[in-house]
Parts: sequence; structure tokens; C-alpha cells
Amino acid sequence: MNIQWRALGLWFGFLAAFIVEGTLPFWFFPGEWSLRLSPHLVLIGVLFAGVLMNRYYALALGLVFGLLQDVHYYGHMLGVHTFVMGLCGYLSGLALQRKFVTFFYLVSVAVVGSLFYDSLVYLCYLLFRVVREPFLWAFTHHIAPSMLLNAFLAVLLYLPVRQYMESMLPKKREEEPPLG
Amino acid sequence: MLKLFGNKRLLILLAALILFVALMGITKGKRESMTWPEKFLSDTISWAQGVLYRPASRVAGFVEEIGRLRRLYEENKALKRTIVFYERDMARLNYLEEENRRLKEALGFTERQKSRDNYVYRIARVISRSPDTLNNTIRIDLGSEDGVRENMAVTTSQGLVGRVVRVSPFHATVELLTNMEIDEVSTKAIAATVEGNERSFGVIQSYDRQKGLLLMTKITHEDPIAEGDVVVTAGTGGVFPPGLVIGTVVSREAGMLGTITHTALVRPAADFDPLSLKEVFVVEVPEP
Repeated sequence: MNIQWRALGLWFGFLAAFIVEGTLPFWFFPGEWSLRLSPHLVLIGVLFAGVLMNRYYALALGLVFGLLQDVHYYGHMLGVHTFVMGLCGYLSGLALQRKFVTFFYLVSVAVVGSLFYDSLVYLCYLLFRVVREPFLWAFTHHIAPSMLLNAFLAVLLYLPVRQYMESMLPKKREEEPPLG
Repeated sequence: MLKLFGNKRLLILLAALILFVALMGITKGKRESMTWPEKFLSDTISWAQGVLYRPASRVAGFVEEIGRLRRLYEENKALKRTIVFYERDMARLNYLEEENRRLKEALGFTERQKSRDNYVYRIARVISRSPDTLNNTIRIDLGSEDGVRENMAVTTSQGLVGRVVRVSPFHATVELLTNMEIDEVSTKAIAATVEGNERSFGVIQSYDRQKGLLLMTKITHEDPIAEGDVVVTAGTGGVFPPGLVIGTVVSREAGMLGTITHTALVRPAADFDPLSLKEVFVVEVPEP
């Protein structure tokens, strides 16, 4: 299979993850917990793309799927998820410029990313006075539980996503251009 | 910091930040009808989600039902008993309705006034739900092709759930009551009154996420509204039709310092968790 087809597959995979995110999780967790635990499948994918591929690809994925979420579930305003997810993708690619990516590293990126993402979304809403509850409440109510769930999901997704993404890269991984 | 982000990079980041904050500010509370690419995209995704959501909800419901089997027997017995009462009430209702119609005719009501309370309840299935905990919207499988318009009220058999905010041809987005916020322009405040005492009045315009209660404000201090009263829509706001159950009053107290009005906390009658929110009704007020 050549790389173009694999890239198309990747985008459709993200689309599938996006569709699943709004439907299936609500049947897995009982009652109120299903509203507090949000599995960020797309976000984990974006973060992995930032680490395993490159930051520009992750930025593009983050912006596109963030915008999709903003438009599809338009509630308070547009642009929150676009901005935050794009930023997450970019930063995950920027923070780590190492040659050897370990399992532990990738999972911790997902955990920190999930925490960062939820907190930043909360802050955006706070800035526009859409929420008025204190951060500590938001943290214990949904940010921390979601973080744990996403750590678990990152462990599950690690192998398949990593194999797929690395198969998209040219055989020898090229050095990224120096910063500056 | 400068080493991590080159100067140019930092500049781009700042520009992006400004751009997005501006975008959020501009789109906040502004609801224009959907453009065609949006409609197409939303409908396509909703279709796919509907394919996934329905079987999943059935499986989840089935597992739950097995656990309930024994209780169902008891429930069935109780329901049979209540149905007798219903039949009796039905006969009475038919008589009263007939009388009401006759009296309206005698008083020369216009067609519009007569049809005002005959709401059409269109049943819709919930197709997906926003994964963002702080932004509670759902998608339903009725759209503009089915006559759904923006700002229509949405209820369940228990009570008011929310309001249609965006409509594409075959699906619509519903903003739940749990998304209401006093400072938000897009929040349509609900004019509310008490069932059985239509002189009570209050305005519901925010939801307390910590307590899970709606906040009803602008109650005058001589208003008799008290704990346990059933709050319904008053219909004077122009968005929600009158008579839809919102919830029950949990507590009433004097408002914040410096205000002369009282506030009350209202427990919503409807359940917002996904297992109880599988099907909703879109309330259509007939137009003359």
C-alpha cells in the first residue's frame, strides 16, 4: 500500500474516532459518570501524530477535527476546540524532538495532553463567562476522571496507532529541520 | 522561552491566539442559520452517528432490562390499577374539552386562539451528544424537512429539556437546559410560573452545575411560590409555549444583597443522562 492511501486511511480513522466519541461512550458508563468521563479519542490521535510523525501534520489534524467538533456540536461558541486541539497537536510535536519514543513517553504525553486540553477548554469558557464554577470543581468533576480514562485508552491505542503512523513515514526517519 | 519558540513562531502563535479569541467572541451567542457546507457535513456525520447510536442504545437498554425483569412485574400490576383511573379521567376530559370548545365558540374565539394550545409533539431520537462536558448539546433525527425550526421547545415525557438551536435538513442540534448561563446572550431566559397558581412569576436563566439545579430569579417578595411547587413555562417570553413542566422548587430565599427580588432553586423534572434521554419530543406550536 502506498503512502497516499495510508494517509487517506488515517484521516478516515480520525473521522471514525470523531463519530464514535459522540455516540458509544455514553453507553459504557452508568448514569452521571457518562457525562463526566470523556474519552478524547481524536485528541489522543492528534498527540500521537505530533510525536510519531511531525508537528505540522498534528497541527492540521487538530485544527480540522477541532473545527468539526465546534461546528457539529455548536453550543456556546465556535473556535474553542479548533484552537485548543491545534495547539495540543503542535506542542506535542514541539516538546519532544527525540529519536527514540518509548511506550511510557507516549502514554504520558497523552495524559498531560488530556489534562492540558480539558483545562484550556475550561479556561476559554471561563474567559467568556460561560462557566462560573471554580477550577477545582471542574478538575475533580471531569478533568481528572477523564485524564485517567484517557491514560487507559492511550495504552490500548498505543500499538495499533504507532504501527500505522510509522508505516506512513519514509523508511528512514528524516531529521526534522532545526528550530529557529 | 525564546529558544523554545523562535521569534517568528511566537509571533504566529500570538496572532493565532488573537484570531481565535476574536472568533470565539464573535460567534458567542450568535446564531445564524447554517450554510450549505455546514448542513451537508452535519447531516452526513449525524447519519453515521445514528447508525451507530441506535444499536448501541438498544444493547445497553437490553442489558439493563434483564436486571429489571422482576421489578417489571410489580410495576405492571401498579400500572394496571392506574389505568382504571386514567380511563375515568379521560371520560371527564372529553366532556370538559367538548364544553371548552362550545364555550370558546360562544365567546367568538378566533381560529388562531383556538389552535394555540394544540401543540404537536413530534417524537425524535437522540443521535449523538457533545463529548464536551461543559457544552451540553444533543443531535436529534428531525430537521427542517420535518418542520423543525429554530427555538422550538424540546421536552421528554418528564419535562422540558431544552431548545432547538440549529437545524440542518434532516437533523437538528438541541441545547440542553444544563447549558444555560445568565451572562450568555444566546441563552433564552424562560418565563416561568407555578402550576395551579398562574400569578406566580419568575425567570429561569441559569443552571448551577455544582448543585444540578436551575436558578429562578426575579420573584417578587409577596409571591406565594414555595418548596414543592411545580414550575411550568409561562409562555410570556415568546420562545417557550406555556404549560410545559420545568421542575419542582427545592428552596426559596431572598436574593443576593442589594436586590429586592427573591430567588428559588428548581430541580429539573427531566433527566439529562443519556440512558433517560433516548427519545425527546419537539413541541410544535401550530401556526394559523
